[in-house]
Amino acid sequence: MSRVVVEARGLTVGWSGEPLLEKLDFEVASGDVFAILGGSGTGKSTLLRHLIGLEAPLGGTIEVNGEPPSLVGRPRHGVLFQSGALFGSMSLLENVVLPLRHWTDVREPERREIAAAKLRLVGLGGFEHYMPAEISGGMKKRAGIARALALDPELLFLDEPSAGLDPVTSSHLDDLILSLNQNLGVTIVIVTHELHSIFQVVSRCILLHRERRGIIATGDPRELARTSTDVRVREFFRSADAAGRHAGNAQ
Amino acid sequence: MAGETTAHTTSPTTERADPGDELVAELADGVLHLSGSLSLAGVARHWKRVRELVAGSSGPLAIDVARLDSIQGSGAALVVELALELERDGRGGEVRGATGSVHALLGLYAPDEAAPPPHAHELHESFLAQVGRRSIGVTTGVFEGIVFIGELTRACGRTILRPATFPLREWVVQLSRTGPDGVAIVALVNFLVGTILGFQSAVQLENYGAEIFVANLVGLSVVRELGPLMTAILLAGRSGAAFAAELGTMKVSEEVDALRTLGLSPHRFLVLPRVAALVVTMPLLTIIANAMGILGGLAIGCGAMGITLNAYWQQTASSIETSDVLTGLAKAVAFGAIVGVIACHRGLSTRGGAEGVGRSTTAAVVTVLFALIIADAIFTYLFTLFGL
Repeated sequence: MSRVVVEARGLTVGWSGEPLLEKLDFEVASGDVFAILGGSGTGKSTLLRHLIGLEAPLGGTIEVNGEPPSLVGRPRHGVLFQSGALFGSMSLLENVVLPLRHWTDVREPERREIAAAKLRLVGLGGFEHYMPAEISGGMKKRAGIARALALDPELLFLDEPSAGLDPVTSSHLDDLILSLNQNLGVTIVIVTHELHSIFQVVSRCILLHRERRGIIATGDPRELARTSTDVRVREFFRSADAAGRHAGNAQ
Repeated sequence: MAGETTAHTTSPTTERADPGDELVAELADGVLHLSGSLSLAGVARHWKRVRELVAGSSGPLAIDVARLDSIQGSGAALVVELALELERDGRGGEVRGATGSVHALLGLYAPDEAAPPPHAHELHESFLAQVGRRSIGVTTGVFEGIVFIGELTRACGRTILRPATFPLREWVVQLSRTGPDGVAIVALVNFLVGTILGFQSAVQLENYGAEIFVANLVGLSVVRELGPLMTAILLAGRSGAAFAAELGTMKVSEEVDALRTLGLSPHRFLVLPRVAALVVTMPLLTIIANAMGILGGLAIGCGAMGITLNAYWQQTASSIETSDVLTGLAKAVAFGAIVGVIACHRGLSTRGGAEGVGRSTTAAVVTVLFALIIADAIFTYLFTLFGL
């Protein structure tokens, strides 16, 4: 039985006291690539912000590695934001060095070596001294993943890593996510509505629904797409599939 | 419905007339018949008349689009909106006769059945509710300000306990931006302030044969009041606006959130070095401002009033005491902190996108200027009270 690394019980999340999702119950096991799925506006990114501790729940509990998510002290998980959120005044290398400088006693030359290796891991070898403004959107996301991996976390939260990327770049990113999970053993919680990514990398998922304000399906996305009798679930996978094919054809 | 009316007019119009853009609307027996073309150009010329027809009618009304030859998206949108409005008014609003592309386009513009609840701004709030909402907003703002000061104090405390954690590199960058880069503008403005003050006072003092006291007036005014205040105002516009815009952009692009998820406090890594930079550069710039202000007065005194350089200098030196300089510099330190803290707070409070950044930047400058004037008044009162 795999260890539970993220657990939500009766979780209610929202903005300014207004609930967006209510009474959520789910758990993420160690080694999972776990997806939070749903259409636009269902509250996927809001839920993620609660899981990583940026927002306090309106109700219920969240436990990450057995404790409520906290932003105090050395981070125990890495986070990739939708835009990459690289620090614009720092080079890619400096972005990755930053957490190492503050949370480890590693000497500066080794920090830079480690940071350069993390950048190579995500396919950005040779771009160490580029500034975020000088690279593409896909490269920013890769650099964001490198920074999230700086402290060798066992858990990674990714907010729509494929959003706004062309299918080829998106596919490379999926390969990278799969590789991090399989080769480094990193548990990954990913927010997405890209069906290609979902079927390629995700092992378990929850599907959120706006009107229901909660989870309408849990399980293996391939199984759900094939066997679910819930019209809303079938519609999500059918529309996402059509949108994905359309985008692919357009490219 | 009695009578028949048409919206097909030949009145002069600024739209380019195209026979293909003609829209004919007829009202008969509770049905609005639309025929011709419902293109953007047709809508621009004839839709106002259609609305007038509908407004002038009463009772149930359906919209018949069977005789439309062509339709564009904007036309379809207006038909759907009209139908919804009629439905809301209890007048039916059924759209009939739509086939082919007209049916498809109207279907496209049909509202989503699962539309979200109306936004707070769309709801008609009572006056009391609006006052309540704004009061909550003000209270929340004050509370956030207190939390911000608390977080900054904690960041200061941690830095004092562990000086090695102070973001030295960021501080040096901010020192350079707020200090040397601002010397020229501070020097120029304060020189001009000195000349204005000198000239205005010289005109009055000349009547009493007391031109030499221009040196006293300019020297004391600049050192005690105008040097620190003008420098702070310039820094509010220059560095304060820059801080708010920079931190606001970082906030909306999730960089601040990213910093927090790395376990790094934005107050320690973004705010503290900026405030510390201003606290150091403000008094240094004020010294330059004082010198340039006195120089401005000297230029008028010696150049226009015929006072000798030596006499002006002697008079200035005899009128300014060490306490005058020190009180001015104490104000400068406080003003630096005020500019830094308020600008950074406004920046980190940014919500929304580019518009939010603009709002924060404007709010930062306005709040800082207001706070500076209040603080200056308090300082002046306290210094007078304690005979400084």
